[in-house]
Amino acid sequence: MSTSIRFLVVDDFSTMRRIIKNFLNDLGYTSIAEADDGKTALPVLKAGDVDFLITDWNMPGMPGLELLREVRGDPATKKLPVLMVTAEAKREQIVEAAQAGVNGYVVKPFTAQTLKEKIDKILASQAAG
Amino acid sequence: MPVAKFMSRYRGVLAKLNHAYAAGDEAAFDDLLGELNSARELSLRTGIAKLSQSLADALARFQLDSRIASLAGHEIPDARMRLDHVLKMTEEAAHKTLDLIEQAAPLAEATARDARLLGETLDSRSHSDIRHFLGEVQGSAEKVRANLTEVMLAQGFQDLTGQILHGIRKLIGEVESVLDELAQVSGVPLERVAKLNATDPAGPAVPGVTVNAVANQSDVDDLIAGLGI
Repeated sequence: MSTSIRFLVVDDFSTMRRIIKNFLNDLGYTSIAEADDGKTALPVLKAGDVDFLITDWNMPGMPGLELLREVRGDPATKKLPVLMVTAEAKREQIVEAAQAGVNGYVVKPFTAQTLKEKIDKILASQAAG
Repeated sequence: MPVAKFMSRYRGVLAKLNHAYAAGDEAAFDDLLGELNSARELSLRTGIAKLSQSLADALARFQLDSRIASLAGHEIPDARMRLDHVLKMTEEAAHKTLDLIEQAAPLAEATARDARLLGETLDSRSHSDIRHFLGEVQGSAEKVRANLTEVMLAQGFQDLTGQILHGIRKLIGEVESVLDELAQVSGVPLERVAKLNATDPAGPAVPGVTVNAVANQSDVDDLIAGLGI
């Protein structure tokens, strides 16, 4: 598995961005960009410098679900792997995210094992597909 | 009382009084005067009852107004600032913890690696106690490294509690503006100052809320020393 994958971590809480970034570092990934909501994430995505998007849902400005829809609506990014890492835990929300085309969904608080599993699973299915 | 009502109320009894007076009927005259008197007393009692009810209402409204003035002027802004402070403190504490984890993790990794490498340089037929010790060091350092990852993930509490507090913060802001409007409508001036005594315990000092707090322990020491203790 390539560790040169470029991640973009989007969360309005700087602590959570830092936690996910450190965790990705521990897994061997070193290219990690950050954004604090969908609006600031979009230009980074449009620039084409991202291979894997990890996003929160509940953020001021542009929430994660809207960001996901933007990503899926743009031919350049519509196949980008998107993992949602969020405190939103209602079944309807998870269904909505799935319908909007999310590749994985992790509810906070999460364990190291859960986050690793979901990332690995998405990367494996990308490699297979 | 309207004139027509006044006249109709007394017309009958005045006619009877006039009649008794003309007839020289003192007993009937006295009875009619008594009737007039009790009618007046009844209306006086009703008037007093109405007046005291209005007074009670006004007093109740005044108390409500001053409660609103205190809530809008002091207690709600105070609660908002305290909540902001909690958000800031938890964020700072989480970042400080992450700083320390980032410093400690490479140390634990290096210790585990060096213990392993050093163990490998030792002859497997000798130094069994040292090799055992190095194995222990490696195991402990790896455990410390794994625990640091768990500590790091646990800092996610700041995000989760922060989201909840942000929600409450928004609600408090809305209540604050509604109360401000209410206080303005009632015309009662806002009470910007707490009614607590300066020495009543109020919990940790909150910047912008707590008046006259010491900044640190050395302020405390200076103050205590200044008091001759």
